[in-house]
Amino acid sequence: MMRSGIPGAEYAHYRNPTVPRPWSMAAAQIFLLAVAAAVLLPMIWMFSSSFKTINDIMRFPPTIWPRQYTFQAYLRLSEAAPITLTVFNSLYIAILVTLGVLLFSSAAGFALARYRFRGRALFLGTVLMLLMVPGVVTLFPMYWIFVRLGWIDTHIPLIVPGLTGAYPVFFMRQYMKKLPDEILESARIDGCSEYRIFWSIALPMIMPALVTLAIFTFMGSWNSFLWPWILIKSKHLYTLPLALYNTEDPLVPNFNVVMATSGISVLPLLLIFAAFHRSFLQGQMAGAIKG
Amino acid sequence: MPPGRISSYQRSIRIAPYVFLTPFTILSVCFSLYPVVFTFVLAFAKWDIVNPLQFVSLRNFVRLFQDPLFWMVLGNGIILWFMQVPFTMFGGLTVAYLLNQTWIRWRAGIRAVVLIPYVVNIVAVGFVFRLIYNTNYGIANAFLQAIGLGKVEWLTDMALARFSLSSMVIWLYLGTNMLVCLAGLQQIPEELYEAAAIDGASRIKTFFRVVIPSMRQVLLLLGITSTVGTFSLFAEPLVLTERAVSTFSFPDLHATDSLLFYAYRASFGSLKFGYGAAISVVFLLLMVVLALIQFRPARRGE
Repeated sequence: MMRSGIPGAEYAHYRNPTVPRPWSMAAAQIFLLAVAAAVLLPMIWMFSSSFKTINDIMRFPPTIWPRQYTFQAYLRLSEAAPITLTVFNSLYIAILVTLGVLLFSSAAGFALARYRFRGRALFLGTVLMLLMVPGVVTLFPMYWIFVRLGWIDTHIPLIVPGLTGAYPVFFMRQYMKKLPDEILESARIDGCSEYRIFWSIALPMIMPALVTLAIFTFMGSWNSFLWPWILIKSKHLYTLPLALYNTEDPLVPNFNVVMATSGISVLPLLLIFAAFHRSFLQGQMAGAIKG
Repeated sequence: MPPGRISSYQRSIRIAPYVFLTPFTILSVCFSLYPVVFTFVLAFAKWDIVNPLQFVSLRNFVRLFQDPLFWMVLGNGIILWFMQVPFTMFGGLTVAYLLNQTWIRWRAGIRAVVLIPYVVNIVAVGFVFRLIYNTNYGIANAFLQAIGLGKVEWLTDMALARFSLSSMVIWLYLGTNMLVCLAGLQQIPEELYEAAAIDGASRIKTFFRVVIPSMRQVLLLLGITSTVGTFSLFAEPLVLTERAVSTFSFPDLHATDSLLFYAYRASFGSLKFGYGAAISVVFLLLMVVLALIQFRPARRGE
């Protein structure tokens, strides 16, 4: 059955085997709830600690809810690094990376999905292999490249190398493959250049996938810690996770401030996650099925 | 088509894929391929920036295999693997399996909750877990006290530090593992379940004889990525238990150092860039070997 538009992983297809006995059902349900609670606990702890005074945090045994709610941690956010500037840095870097990834990987995915050309297999194979190499492996070589380029302590190395992700390319390729040939062919016959076809026909047809990719890329960039940590020294260039890392004061306990900063680093993404829940799931699962 | 003549139209179609691929390729060659090649070259050299680079062939590797810290870190990787991977993978599988059953309530909500860790940045997670496992005012110790045991040093005791790190890693990655398993589970055709039901298989039997074999490829994929992840843990031990070389407050435990963390220390800490690169190369080779090992049981006849 052909469906126009984008076939995401159809999510509502649930199993319905014989229903088990009440005991097993209860046990399974409790297990799941326990897992959910275990996942939520650290999050709750983080937010509740951000509303405590430092003495309250250091009480033993600690309580979940603050003795008295206070905003003092939030008022001290800028002590470690200029918070508004940091958030702005994280934001604009994430936006640039997202736009870049959307453009470059959809172009690459389009090429890999819809054309036969010499070197395609080699290209795919190499990219696949590079995928297996975790970023940490090349920490020093990358650092050295950036030193020679003069990119240390700037934002450039946080943006440009992020555009080389293999996953986005494969993700885009998967969706591009599903585009109906007829539409593209008829556009070609009508005289559209390949680039017009890509830009005005293929991309709009793939919009949900682009949205999903944008969300993931944005989140990845926002949360990125390792590279900023290695590459950025000046406080005014800090991104949020890096500022967060430096928030802890080794001399004076300030864990409530740390938790408050953690909270604001997490909140935007939680909101995005809540808003784009569906998209998120479809994207992850489509990526998981080897197309 | 007239032989020997290619219209400019045809030509523009022919070169289009290359044009589309150009930005990505240039960037990948510069920032993906070249660094890896550089790492391999560096592994056979001795360099600390100050002095010029000298090639020393296999000396780094020989030194590495004689280094007790290397073996310790390798041991860490193996121990951490057993503490993390089975739980993350099969925990994810179990949760996914249950979330796939229509008779479970609040499925969407639980699913969403379990995915939250993916959205949170690693530094925040590290700090929260440090607070939880804090010796003097963490709830982990509060819990121990409540059940009658004394306080323990979750983050500075060798064995416990690994436990703390593993619990954090499982917390972090259970959600994505679950999602991958869910996708795999939904590919299992109904007929298999029906056939098993007709044969009178119990639910547990069905699980082991139908579900798991069908999930072989997914489990293989998860296994490989989890294994690579375990040996390359970097930000997690950094924020939770270790400190970068320059600070002072924690004793250098090395209990939770991963292989790549050790490579980092050798490079950026001791400025032995060749040695660090050699560790990275060993890491890559090890990953290939472990991946191949995991291929075997996955390939065995259907």
